[in-house]
Amino acid sequence: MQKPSDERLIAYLDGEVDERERAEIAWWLEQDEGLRERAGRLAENAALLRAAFDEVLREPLPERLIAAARGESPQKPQKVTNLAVHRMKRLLGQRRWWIGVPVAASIAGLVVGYFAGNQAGTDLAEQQEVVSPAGGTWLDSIAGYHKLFVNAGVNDAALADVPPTEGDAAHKVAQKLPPDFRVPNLKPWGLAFQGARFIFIEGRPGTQLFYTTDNKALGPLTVIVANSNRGDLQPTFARRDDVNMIYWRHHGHAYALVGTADIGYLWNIHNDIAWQLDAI
Amino acid sequence: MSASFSDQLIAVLPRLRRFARGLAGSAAEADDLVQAACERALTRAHQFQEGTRFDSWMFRIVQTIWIDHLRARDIRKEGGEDEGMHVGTDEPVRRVEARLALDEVRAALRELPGDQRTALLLVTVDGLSYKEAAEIAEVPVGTIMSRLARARLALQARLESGKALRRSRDNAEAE
Repeated sequence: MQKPSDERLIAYLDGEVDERERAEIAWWLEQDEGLRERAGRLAENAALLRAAFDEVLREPLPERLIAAARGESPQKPQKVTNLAVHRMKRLLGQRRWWIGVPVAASIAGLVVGYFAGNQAGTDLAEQQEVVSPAGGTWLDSIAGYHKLFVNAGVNDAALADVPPTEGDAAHKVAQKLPPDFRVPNLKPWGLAFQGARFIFIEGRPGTQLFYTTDNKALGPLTVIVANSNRGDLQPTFARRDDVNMIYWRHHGHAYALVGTADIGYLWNIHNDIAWQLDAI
Repeated sequence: MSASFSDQLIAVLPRLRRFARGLAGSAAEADDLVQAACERALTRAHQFQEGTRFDSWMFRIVQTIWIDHLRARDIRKEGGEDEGMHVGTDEPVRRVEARLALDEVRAALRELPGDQRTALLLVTVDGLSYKEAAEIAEVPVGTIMSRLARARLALQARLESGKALRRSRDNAEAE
């Protein structure tokens, strides 16, 4: 079993390898700290790249594009040369901001957290979901549920509707979840399943799965699975206080991974969960 | 033109703008590209095959127009301006730093060859599968995979060298 090449490692991070190869690469990641760090950096840069362009999705659509899409009074594309030169000059002046601005290695987390947390969402509809008129949001709720779990601790019997000690815990959880659902096995990450809680998020039923670990860099994690009547959504990062989240929708179900782990970890675990749930 | 066709087109506009922004670098040029793609899509709506993915079809049109545009202008890629960055003087430092970091990523992307940039935008930014990206770029899946790997590694190298350069500048200034 050869150590995965960069190409295969990237394909693994993108969820583009088959089951056998996924298991092989997961094994290598468990064994090889250097490889794990490399995967983390690749995932982090990918998240940063998405954050760099997700702003575009939140911009209002120019009227000329809407008109063009409707076939109404098309305007000739405007020449922008002069404008571009003007803006370039302005930006070159602003580049001085670079001097003296240290960009720490953890900037990726800050950036993604800042933009995703403050302007979460990757399409116009998502923007409406995240910033609801009432101020309460789906993301706020799941971050709150995560904190509740962390503060209460896994030994709080009142918290878990399905404790892990029950023999048919996974079956009980599955009854409330999408067909073919199984409790994600996150043992390769050192995360132990600690039970499940049935919750309501924004008036819709959902399930919160608890995982804990001795690895403080990873911290406790919760996985949320809920029904959704909205369209599919690609994995998106968000942040509430010190809680990072990655959430996505697939075939009528909304999923979220919540924790204080850095985004590289979350992204990799999300890939693993999505693969296990066949959610992407 | 049917309302449903236009509705589909409007729904995919944000993603097309994001893709075009990554290709063109400039917001204005990207919107010109998307507008041209809309116009072409409307004139060729009869060519769209029901049951296939509308978004993939539109991405392919944007990609084709962009390649035609590059050929026509024989552009040698230079760092285009990026309207994503508007650093206001009253912005909190944290926000400025965040914007600068994202600007660095966009700049690093612009330095990549066009085919690698396209692969990154389709797969890493838009989340399409390798197969879908391959269909849009009209290349085999293996080609997308290798372009993507080269692009991800090059991006990482550029971002890390940028960090190293800033560190050495900071040290020089501190001295």
